[in-house]
Amino acid sequence: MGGGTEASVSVWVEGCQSLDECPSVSTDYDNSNRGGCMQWLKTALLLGATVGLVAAGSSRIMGLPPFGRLLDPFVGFWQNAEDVDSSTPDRLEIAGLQGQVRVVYDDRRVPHVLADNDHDLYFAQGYLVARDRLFQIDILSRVPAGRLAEILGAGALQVDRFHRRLGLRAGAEASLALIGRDSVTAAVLSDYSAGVNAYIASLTAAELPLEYKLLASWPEPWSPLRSLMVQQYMVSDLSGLSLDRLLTHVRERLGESAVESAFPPTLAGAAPIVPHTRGKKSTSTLPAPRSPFSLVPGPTFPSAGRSHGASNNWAIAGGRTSTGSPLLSSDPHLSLTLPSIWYEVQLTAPDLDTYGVSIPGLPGVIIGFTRQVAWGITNSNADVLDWFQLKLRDGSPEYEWDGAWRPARISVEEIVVRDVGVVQDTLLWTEHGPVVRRSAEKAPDEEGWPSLYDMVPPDCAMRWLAHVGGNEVRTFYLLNRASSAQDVKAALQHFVRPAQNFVYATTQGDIGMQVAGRLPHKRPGEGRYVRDGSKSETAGEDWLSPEQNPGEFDPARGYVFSANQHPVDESYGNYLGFNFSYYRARRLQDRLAMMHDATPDSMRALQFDKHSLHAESLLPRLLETLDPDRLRPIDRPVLELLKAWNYENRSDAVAPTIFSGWWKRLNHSIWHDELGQGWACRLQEKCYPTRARVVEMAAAGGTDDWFDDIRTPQKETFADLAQSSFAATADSLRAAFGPMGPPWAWSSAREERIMHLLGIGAFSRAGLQTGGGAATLNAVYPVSRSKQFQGPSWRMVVSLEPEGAVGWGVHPGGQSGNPGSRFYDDGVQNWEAGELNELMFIVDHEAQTAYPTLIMESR
Amino acid sequence: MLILSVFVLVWIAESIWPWWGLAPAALLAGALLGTSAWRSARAGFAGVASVWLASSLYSHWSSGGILTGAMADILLLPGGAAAVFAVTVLLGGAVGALAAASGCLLGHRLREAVRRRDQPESAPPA
Repeated sequence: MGGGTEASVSVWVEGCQSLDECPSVSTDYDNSNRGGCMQWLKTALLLGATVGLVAAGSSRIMGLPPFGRLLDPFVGFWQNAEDVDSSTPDRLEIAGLQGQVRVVYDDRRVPHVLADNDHDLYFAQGYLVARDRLFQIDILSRVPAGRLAEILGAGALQVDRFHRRLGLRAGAEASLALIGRDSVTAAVLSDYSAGVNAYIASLTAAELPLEYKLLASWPEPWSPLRSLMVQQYMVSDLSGLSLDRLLTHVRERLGESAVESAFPPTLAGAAPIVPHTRGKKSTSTLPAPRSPFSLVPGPTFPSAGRSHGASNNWAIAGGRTSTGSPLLSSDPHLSLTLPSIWYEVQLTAPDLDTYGVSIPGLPGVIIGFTRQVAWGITNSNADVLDWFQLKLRDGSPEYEWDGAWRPARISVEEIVVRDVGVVQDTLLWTEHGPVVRRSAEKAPDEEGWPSLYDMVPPDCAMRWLAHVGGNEVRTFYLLNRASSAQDVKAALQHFVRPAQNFVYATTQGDIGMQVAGRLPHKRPGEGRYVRDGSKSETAGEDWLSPEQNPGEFDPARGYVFSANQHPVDESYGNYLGFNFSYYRARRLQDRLAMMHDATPDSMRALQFDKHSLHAESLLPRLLETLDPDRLRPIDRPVLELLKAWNYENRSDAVAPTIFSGWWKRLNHSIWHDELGQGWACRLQEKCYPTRARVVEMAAAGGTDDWFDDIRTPQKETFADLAQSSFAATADSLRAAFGPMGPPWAWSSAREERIMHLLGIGAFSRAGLQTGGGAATLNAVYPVSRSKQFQGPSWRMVVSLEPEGAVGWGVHPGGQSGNPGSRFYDDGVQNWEAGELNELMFIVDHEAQTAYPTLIMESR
Repeated sequence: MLILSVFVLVWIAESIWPWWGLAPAALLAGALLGTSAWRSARAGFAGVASVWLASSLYSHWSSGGILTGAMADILLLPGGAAAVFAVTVLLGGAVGALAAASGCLLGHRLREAVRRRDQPESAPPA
């Protein structure tokens, strides 16, 4: 505002100089000459009011946006409303480029980047991503760094504190050091970063992304470390949930046999990613794990969480497809946000030609295809996070270690909180890792901690793969240049965190599935509970070598698939965890096994499959156990509707709403009396055992002890719980939506939506009609009780034809991160309807002729 | 005349300076052409309001109104897009009115001072 006053003065002085030559100026000042002081006072007051209003309009008052700047049509939000007929500028001169880059925009505004060298390619990718997604990459890198409060204020303090205590920055710094020793990937990261910075430097107040205008903030420079923070965001999202606290709590209350019964390491009928694993991987030669399997009886732990993985990928060999060429499908599921977590791009330079989706903030294509190879990813859900119980010394940052006190490494975190100042937090690092939560800590700030905090056992050290450095940039650098299965396998050797199931297929006719990433070397059951952290023998990492990871190549059955299920069968020998999904994998296996003459459209349809194998397994048992004589007349039509249901979670069907409500109540009534007592876990519903375990128990006669409500004198069975939960479900649905009818329809009843990154309702898309559910391949479902949905974040199908890969894909958003652009959410409609867009490679000679082309040149 | 001057000067200032540029522009117009504070305030309001209305209407129409309704929601304005226009025009107009009125008064004070300096002997006795 100081600048404003100076400018006012300077203009006023210029005006003064021309006053005498201005005959039109009226000279009625004689009248106003009376009481000169009063006149000056009036003038000063009015001037003061003007300056005050301008100052107020430029300031953020009580967290509200600066209204003057925001509403001004020349620089405010109006400038973010993109012209319907907008065309991209046809020429840009940017310092930092070595040559010329052609950026061809297709009709969905996907940039096809054609560069003459790698430097310019990654520079341009950084520049274009910043132009479309600047605010998003800023937020994605701030979350793991614990730096949200800098721009969002005190409301984000606990979230920041939590992320800092998770030690995510240490992992990013370790990765940076590792990448620094690899000149190729170091250059990729630094070129990308320079591109982002070139855009930030060119930014004008009018072009500033709308969210910054609302927050009265300005983007700060990008760096390779910030890219690696985005990587940490993904690592954390994919491997940051641990159920150790829950299992330790259940064991303490109910004994180990209860844990084994409710949370068995494997379930009958599971369809592992690599069946008959021992025959394919010689794990019998695995040495015994170095860490002894030592357990410690835990204190009373109140809570835990559950991973939300629901991704699918598969490939079919040419023998099962209509063209004789392999087909690949990649369908990764993540929290659905606007802007989309994916940014579609074609990257072409002399040594690569690749198309697919990138993660904003990271260089390269993460899921996609080259001319000869396609690949896709699902989360392995392997347990790479363990907790170690510490004995902390009172009043001193020391912990017991082999019978003596050992000082913890102290890191003082300085969290900048907007409008407040700097808040300090002390982080203790032990031999195992950081201490996230202290029991001695006063908890006045319990409010505002993210719900994941509930699963953190107090006074425990965290050993997590996210603290280990990795050069995943190298993996994608090589995948983007792959032309054979050998190239893919070589690229995956470099992948570290967190383990992912990579499916791939080639134009040479190969298909394969490889679990890539570091897997812990554990005995069966090791790491299920919080462990003793006071002995040096439990310290240190013990990982499998990459060649011991499970994988399959050109299997005789003619297909490979993964859906976050158990990667291996019991013959593998090494323990990878127990928190794996079940029904989607079974469904995929059923469908793929019967698929012949498959076409890209069969792949598309399978991605959009809404058949609930969970409902098909459980509902008949529920219906046969229900006693019709005990039903109220008002509930009979509800039952009839369920009886006629075909288990398809269609968006307009009422039955999925009833079944889902019934299932939730039934599940709660089975587990709440035993597992829900004595803790206040906000993730409670997510802490219950798997759907498949309940079905298994129901199939085994329905008299399992878990069905008994331990709070009542009589012994309940599956039939009792089914009966009572059915009536309660019908009542609650009538209370919420009125008599059974259209308002009960699946999509509208659960209010399908995609929320804006910061939860701004006006920038979100509500009222979606897509259907699906947590246990269907089209796994669209709400995350916990929030309004946030999780679901297919990128659906891709690639046909690996001899003359070159052909792809189709869609993501539930658009290329632009600007809510004022029609490319912000133009993909949602096709995604909702289960349609795919054609993904085209554009070649250089088509630039400027067939499509609007942006030429980027060195200044 | 004054309205037109405010309109032109503010449009130029806004194209060069940050949003506060409209204040010195309206102030200058008021100082040069303002006959009375009230008249200047009215002209300042009308001038800036027209600039902001014209410019925001252009953004609204050329973008198919993609953001206007959303902003009403974010700013908790009942009345949708029309309310966003109203708030925009009122805010711009208010700054314009104050700036032009203070410009007018400043102009008067300045001319008064200049006259006193140039003709000290003819100044009326204090």
